[in-house]
Amino acid sequence: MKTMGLFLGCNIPLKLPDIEQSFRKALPELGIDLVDLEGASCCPSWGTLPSFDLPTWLAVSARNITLAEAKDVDVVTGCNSCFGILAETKHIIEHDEEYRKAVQEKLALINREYKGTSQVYHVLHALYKFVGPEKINEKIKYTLKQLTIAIQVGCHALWPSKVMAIKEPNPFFPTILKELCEALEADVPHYSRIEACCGMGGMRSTNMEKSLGLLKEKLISIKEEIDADMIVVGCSSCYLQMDGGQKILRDRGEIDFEIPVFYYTQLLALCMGFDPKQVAAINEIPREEIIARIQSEERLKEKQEG
Amino acid sequence: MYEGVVVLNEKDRELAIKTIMERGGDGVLRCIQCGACQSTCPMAFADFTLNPRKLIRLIQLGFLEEMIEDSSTWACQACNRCVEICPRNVKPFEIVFAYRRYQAMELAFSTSAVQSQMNLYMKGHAVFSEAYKETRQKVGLPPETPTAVSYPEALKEIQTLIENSPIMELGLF
Amino acid sequence: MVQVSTNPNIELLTYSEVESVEGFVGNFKVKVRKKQTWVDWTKCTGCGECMEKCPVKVPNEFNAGLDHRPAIYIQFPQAVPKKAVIDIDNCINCAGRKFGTEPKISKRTGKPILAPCERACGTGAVNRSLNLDPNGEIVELDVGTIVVATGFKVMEKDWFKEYAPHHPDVMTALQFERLLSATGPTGGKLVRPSTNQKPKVISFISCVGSRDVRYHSYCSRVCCMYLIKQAKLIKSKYPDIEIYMHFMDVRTPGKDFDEYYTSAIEMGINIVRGKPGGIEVLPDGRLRVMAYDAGLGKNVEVHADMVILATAMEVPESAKKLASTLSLTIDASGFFKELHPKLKPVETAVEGIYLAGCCQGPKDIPDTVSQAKGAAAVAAVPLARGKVVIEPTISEVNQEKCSGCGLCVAVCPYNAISLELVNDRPRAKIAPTACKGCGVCTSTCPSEAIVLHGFTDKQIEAQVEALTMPV
Repeated sequence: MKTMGLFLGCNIPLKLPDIEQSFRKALPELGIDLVDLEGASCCPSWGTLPSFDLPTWLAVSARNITLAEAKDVDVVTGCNSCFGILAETKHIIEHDEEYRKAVQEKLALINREYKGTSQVYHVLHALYKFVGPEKINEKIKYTLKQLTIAIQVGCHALWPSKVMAIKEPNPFFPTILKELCEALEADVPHYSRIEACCGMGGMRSTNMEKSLGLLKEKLISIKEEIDADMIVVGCSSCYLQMDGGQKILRDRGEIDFEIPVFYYTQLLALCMGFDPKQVAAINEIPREEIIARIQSEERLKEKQEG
Repeated sequence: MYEGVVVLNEKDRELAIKTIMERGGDGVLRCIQCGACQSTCPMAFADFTLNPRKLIRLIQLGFLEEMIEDSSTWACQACNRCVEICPRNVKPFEIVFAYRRYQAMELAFSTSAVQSQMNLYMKGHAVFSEAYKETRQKVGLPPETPTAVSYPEALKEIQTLIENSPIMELGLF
Repeated sequence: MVQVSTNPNIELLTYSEVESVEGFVGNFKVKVRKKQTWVDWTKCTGCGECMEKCPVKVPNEFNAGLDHRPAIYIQFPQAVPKKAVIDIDNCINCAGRKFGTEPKISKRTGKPILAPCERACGTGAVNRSLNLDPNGEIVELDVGTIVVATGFKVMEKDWFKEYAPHHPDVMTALQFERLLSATGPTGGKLVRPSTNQKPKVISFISCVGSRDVRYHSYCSRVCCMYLIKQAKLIKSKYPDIEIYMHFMDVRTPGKDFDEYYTSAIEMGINIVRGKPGGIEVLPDGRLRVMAYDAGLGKNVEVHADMVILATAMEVPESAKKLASTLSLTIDASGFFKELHPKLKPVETAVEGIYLAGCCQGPKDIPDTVSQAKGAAAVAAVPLARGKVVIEPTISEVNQEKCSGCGLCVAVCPYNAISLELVNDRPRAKIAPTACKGCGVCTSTCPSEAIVLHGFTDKQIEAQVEALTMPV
């Protein structure tokens, strides 16, 4: 059993708590116990302190990491922005003496000190490293046989690879999320825009039209090239864009299809038999039909094997 | 002077490079304008006026002020593809962010940036929604989150860190 | 190469490696390991029959891994000498015929059951009953001077993750060179490896691993020109193939080089200035090159059937080992260091050892030939003169003071110091032709037994005194 500090961020606890619930349901059953990091703040995301003052960004991030250090656990987070920010912070503080000093001075103002004893993991990386596809497959009740998944890893879990504890063999052709989906027995084919940005983040708040333009390109690649039954994301921001942004494009008639979207642990929790009202309840693009298909009698693993 | 020509000068160039390097963009002089960053940049795909390559070139030639009102830099996704592939270790993303920091301190930023900054200071969360308790209960979670918004002493710590930074000069809070 | 092999004054040792070098200019003792070929070269005629019969298939190094070769093989059709060797690590010992074992006797015919390579050989050059030494044979040579010309290798494509290295239609320019060659894997037929069909669109990418601080900061110098050569070859033979060449910038210094480049543009070859940032793989297997054009200042995409990467030239690891065997230094970019970049471009820090070709730095064929001729001429001078001029500022041992501790032997970077017995006691001795006057031994010697002429303690003290004298 591994115990990890769950870093929630903003989007997951405040807007998409069904994703939080999917962590809390699925991870302990797979051998990852979660403890809360009480008082954790925004990572702080790219558009806030990192865009205003570098040392202050690093200090607020480092404060978040010290919460895990105090509990002697590693950090696990499901939001790519949080993961990117915290991993980048850790890398900068541990490789740049000047910034490390500046951060410690700032942390001293709130009686804290950065020690560097906690590692930062993305929830997908933690599942991959500490559980592994094989054990995941053992734990599922329903399989996704003959369902096609388009994966969307999200930028901050791919680049810059130098700041990450767990690395994709090739971040431009990612395979970790693919293997995790294959552990649910789904088909996970390649599509050409697999590593492309969904358009969320700073771009969405700066220029929604341009942001949706990137999303549209990605969705069309998914639809035309592999005609996926669902999109599975590894990032809560990507989720908001792939789901909510897709709805906007659909309503405008810019696309003539709908592809349901899941955060990976939501799909995992569904395959493990958890209640969709708790683990997959907040969405714009309807998911009821696909959820019913997933949690259906004929997909029961024991039946298929028996 | 012709309308279509600009005169290059060393004074502007020095100021531009110094401004960016001081704010974390230390690779600006290593750039050889190969364009690898632009060829894989979401900002360029979406056809924003600025992208890392173009911004770096403008700075290298001393055009610091000319694009200060251009909000393109705020469309940078911080995706770091550019950092991964840059053949000269320029770290283009850091230069875009260094320029953002310069813009921010000149109060040239979008309203969305102000809102999330305010949220962070007031609630500890850049993204905030008043309806969160209800949403959490709907999926079977306790209404309160174990995060800064529920812990006044944690919020105080974050406010202390922000209050002791140059951001206070902006007079946002 | 054929001329070299037939020259009566040249002894050619192929399939051999230098094990050690001792001595100094005019008196080098070189130990060379002639690797075990497992084939009797006095009998092998190079007919290639054995290659037809060997069942093993391993990636063919000569064709840059594009096809396979057997375990018994002649490296390439023009190899000198044209003799077969057995790659013993990959040999599967057919019919249980390990070297040094007697063949089984067939119950049916009463004759020995031979391995296919033995049976194929009409001259008896392959005889697996022989107990051959896997370590080969060591030969010792007395030589006056040495020219090092190890050549280069190119980087493999796997380093460049953004360029879809797993895709068979992404290849290094060296692989592509083999693909275009009449003796290559397709007999010179231009096909996409994934489909065996003729490509319609080809992209070339230059500076892949060169001018890239993640790998090599230097320019490999030859890529622009050979890429243009490959493109022109294709375009002249198949004018319907679209060609896009992605250059950070085009470097064509050299006689007639720029004319060659501009003529390529006039042929209809597209030059796109800018480094592509990545390659995406389309569902039909084509490659989407995500590029940038400096002229437009905009992003462009090419949907290519093949992408050719001009990967960087570098010194192979084995050559770096040789450098330490020869006491030569390697410079920051990984190449053998010449004594002076302008005035001693083929000499090294070791008197009597010279450099030629890409082991000293990336260069094209004309430059390599020029440098090789220079190295050959310089190497011949001491041999013709029978004596060498040495610097006066070298070290000398006062054997009266020497305690024979041997510290100086260990620290000398030029292997110039050895211990000799004087009245049954070990005493250091410096070979004046090998000493470079660096002074390391002088400062290391605990007995103050070594003096560096021109830099004695007294002389240095006098200099310090003069420099610090009040005005």
